[in-house]
Amino acid sequence: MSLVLLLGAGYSHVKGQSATFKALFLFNFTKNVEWPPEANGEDLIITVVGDSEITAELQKIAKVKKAGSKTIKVESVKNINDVGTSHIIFLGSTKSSLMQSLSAAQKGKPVLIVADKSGMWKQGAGISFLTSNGKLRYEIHLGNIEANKLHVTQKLISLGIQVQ
Amino acid sequence: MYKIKILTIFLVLTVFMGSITAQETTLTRDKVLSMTTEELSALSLDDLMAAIDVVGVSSLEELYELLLNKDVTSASKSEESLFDSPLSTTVLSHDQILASGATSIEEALRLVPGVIVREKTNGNYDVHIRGNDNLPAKNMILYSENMNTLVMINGRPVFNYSHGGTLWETLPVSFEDIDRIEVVRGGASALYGPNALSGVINIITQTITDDSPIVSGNFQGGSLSTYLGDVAFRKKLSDKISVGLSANYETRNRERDDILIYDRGGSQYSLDGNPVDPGYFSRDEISRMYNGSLPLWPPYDVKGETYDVYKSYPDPDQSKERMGVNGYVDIMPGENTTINIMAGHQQSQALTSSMGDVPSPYATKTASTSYVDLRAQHKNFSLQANYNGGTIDYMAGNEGFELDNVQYNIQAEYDWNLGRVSIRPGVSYQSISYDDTEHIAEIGNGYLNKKQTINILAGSARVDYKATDNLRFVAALRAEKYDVPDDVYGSWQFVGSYKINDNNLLRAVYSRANQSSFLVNAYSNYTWNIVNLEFPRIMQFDGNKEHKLKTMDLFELGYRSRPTKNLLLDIEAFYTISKDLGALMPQSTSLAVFNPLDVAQGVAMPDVNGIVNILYQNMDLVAKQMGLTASLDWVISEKLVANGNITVQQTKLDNYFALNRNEVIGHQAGVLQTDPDLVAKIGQAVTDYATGVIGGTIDPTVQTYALVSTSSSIPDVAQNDYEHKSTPSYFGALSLTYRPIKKLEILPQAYYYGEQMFENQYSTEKIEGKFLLNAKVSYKVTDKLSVYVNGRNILNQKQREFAYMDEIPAMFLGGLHFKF
Repeated sequence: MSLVLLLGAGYSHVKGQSATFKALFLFNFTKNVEWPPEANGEDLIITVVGDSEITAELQKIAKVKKAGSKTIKVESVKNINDVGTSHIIFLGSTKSSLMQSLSAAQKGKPVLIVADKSGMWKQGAGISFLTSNGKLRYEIHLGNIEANKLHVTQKLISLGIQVQ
Repeated sequence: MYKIKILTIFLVLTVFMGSITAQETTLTRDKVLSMTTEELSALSLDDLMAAIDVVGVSSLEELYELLLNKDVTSASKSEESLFDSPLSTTVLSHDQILASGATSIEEALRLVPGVIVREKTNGNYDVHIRGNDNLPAKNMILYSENMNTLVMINGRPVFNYSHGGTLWETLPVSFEDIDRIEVVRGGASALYGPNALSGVINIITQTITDDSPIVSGNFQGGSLSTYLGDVAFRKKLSDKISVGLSANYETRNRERDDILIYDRGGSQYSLDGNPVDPGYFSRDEISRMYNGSLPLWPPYDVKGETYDVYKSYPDPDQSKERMGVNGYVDIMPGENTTINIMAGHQQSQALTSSMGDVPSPYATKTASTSYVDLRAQHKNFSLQANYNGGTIDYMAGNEGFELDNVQYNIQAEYDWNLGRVSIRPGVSYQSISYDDTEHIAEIGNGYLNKKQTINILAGSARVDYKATDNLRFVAALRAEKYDVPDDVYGSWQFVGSYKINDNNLLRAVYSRANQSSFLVNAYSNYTWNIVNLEFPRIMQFDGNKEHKLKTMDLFELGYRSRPTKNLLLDIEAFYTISKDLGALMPQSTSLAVFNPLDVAQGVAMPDVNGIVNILYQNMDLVAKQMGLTASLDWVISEKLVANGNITVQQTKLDNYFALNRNEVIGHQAGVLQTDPDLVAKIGQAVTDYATGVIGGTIDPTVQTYALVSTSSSIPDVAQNDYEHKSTPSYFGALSLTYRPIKKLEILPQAYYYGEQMFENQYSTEKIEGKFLLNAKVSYKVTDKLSVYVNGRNILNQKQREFAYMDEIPAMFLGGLHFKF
């Protein structure tokens, strides 16, 4: 078993581009989502739950880009109780069991909930990433998004896989 | 000349358009990878997606996603990550099943940890989760059927409520229908109702999306005249409606075309007057064989049709033939509403193990059944209603075993999400009817002799409480009201899971699950006038409407770990206690004079023989199983993936009754025959009978025998701590998936198990351990077409996997898979 773990660890450094791409997607979503006036503030806050790679990639983007006129602030938390007021919450795949609790806690708040696992719209996610035929795609559930008082562009809808 | 001009223009245009296309797609992988974060961030969403598509998700990450980060629905009735599942759960994806080279759903289940799969005849299998099989032992082969696992298609039970078990060949779906197979090990009656004692196998069909291929199919053929294929058409007609149609066909032959006649305890077989030992014989030979002075397989008439060995084995060289068609309609009338309708039909014939008691362990089962299944979801409310009906002949050529059946199931559930707590109350109703009257010459010849029904009304609730982000408790309770037996049964499941961190999860389960009532156990009323055994002359089989339903308690501890991103380890330790097992066992044996009038008139000596009353009765037997399953999924590199699992188990029996049915009958007959007053009792019985006939109280055309004496004596031979060895002490699977180049996939796969002992009513057969090696090599000609060669049991290990059944040789097939 130790040999197996050793060999496994040897390959664990292999990383793909998907964390970078997902972070770019998240940034791009800020261009295609309209938050209600009550969500306005100086910063656009993206909270990442349980994914250090995405956090790191988002922080790279935040250093060089703004969301419109707003500074992007990236928060990283391990528990959903630690999630503060956010514009976007990204739930890492290892935390996907918490989606139901997260969406209930954020119900009606102006926040876009993005999941790293397909099918999470059934538990309240607005957008869920998935891999299909080697391509990164996202599912979009308008009902969940609009329930949180957000509006999205037609482009965001048409480029995603609309689910209901 | 004109053609050359046209061709020239076409070529020029092609080159010109090609150059334009080349200019438009100058975005290369290297270029994208060299872009800075700032440059990538500046792209619009569509440009960003185009750039991402050029690079693609790495194969390795896709493998992690496909193999190690699956979702499962069956463990909690809502979609969740397999890693977070609080139960012992495995998901086989469509792609995994195809890649494995499995030629049937049952064979694919060999990939699942904790599942023991033994082939009986080519393409017909025994499938058990964890074991506890062939209990009570020393009985008919019927009791080796898996009555402990609930098999479903999209949550619709496909269970045989007549005898218990699953008739795998009657499943209407095939590979192209299937999105995934979810296997949950451990009692799950609280979620799915009765018969989920050792677990559930839920076959989930494909969802039709924009990405679904319009047509896909799989065809293969090879040795043992094995040909199988299926094809599916799917189309999303609009955002609101999708349709699908699938069809499948499978035919397989045996290596031989003769039938095993086995020793049924002191059999004295002869063929054309010459003594012969038990063994394999052709149908012609069987029709000429005798057991002692009695023909072995005498023909008789049923509604103008001759029931004989040819009717029993219409195609002795063929092990299986089946076809199925399925239609799908998915409707999304509103944003929060989905309606899925699935309907289909299947016809099948399988030469496999017998469910009754005939001179051969083989029997032919034929079935023609249809179904309609409706699933509807509106917001958090779900409704499922289905019908399944048709005709199944459990033992062709044996009057009384052909039945018409109708099953209705309806269930409604509401998923009430309160954040950290979700509550899922539900109600369900099942009505299951079987009727043999259309298929017997006269009432009394069947084992039901009328339409008989079992109704089950149930209420359930499941509470899922996430106390913290890491700590979760699940409690599921279900109460079922049966009309037969007239009783209420409770089942439950208490689960706790603790996620030590994102990559380590501990879980503990305590559950109780129960079997349902089966028609044969509750309603049997079958008089078997035995024509091919010297003793007894009559066996009367009676059901028992007051019997207790079998229950199984489970205690389980599990640990799941993802020590690195490319490795998934799962270990589960289980302990089960099964009680209230039952069987059709002798209640009493009587001696009777079968020619009382002749004896009374002094023209013959008494023809004394036996009448045995067989009653379905609970036994004191308690089965305790302890075991451990470990599995490992390891993405070694983009080119190499390894999977392995092993289960070790031990089953001990308390109050094990060491005698078989015939030994009990022999004991009771012995008590009667050693009665010093037997001669006097025979005389008295004949006198009483003659007096009754003369007095008009006995009708000699109805009551043809004079009862002499009866014994209900049961020997006290119960044993405790008896090791039951019908399940191998270890079993499991190993597989490697090697992709040296993107187009080529080589998948060697092994299934192995240890020695086992099969205790039957006539003998105990030792089954040797086995190491089955399979291999499939696939070549992807295009993204839409793959061709392959597929070898099953390539080491040609022919020893039997199941008692008395076929020795199956290596099989080699070639085939193709396409999707457009």
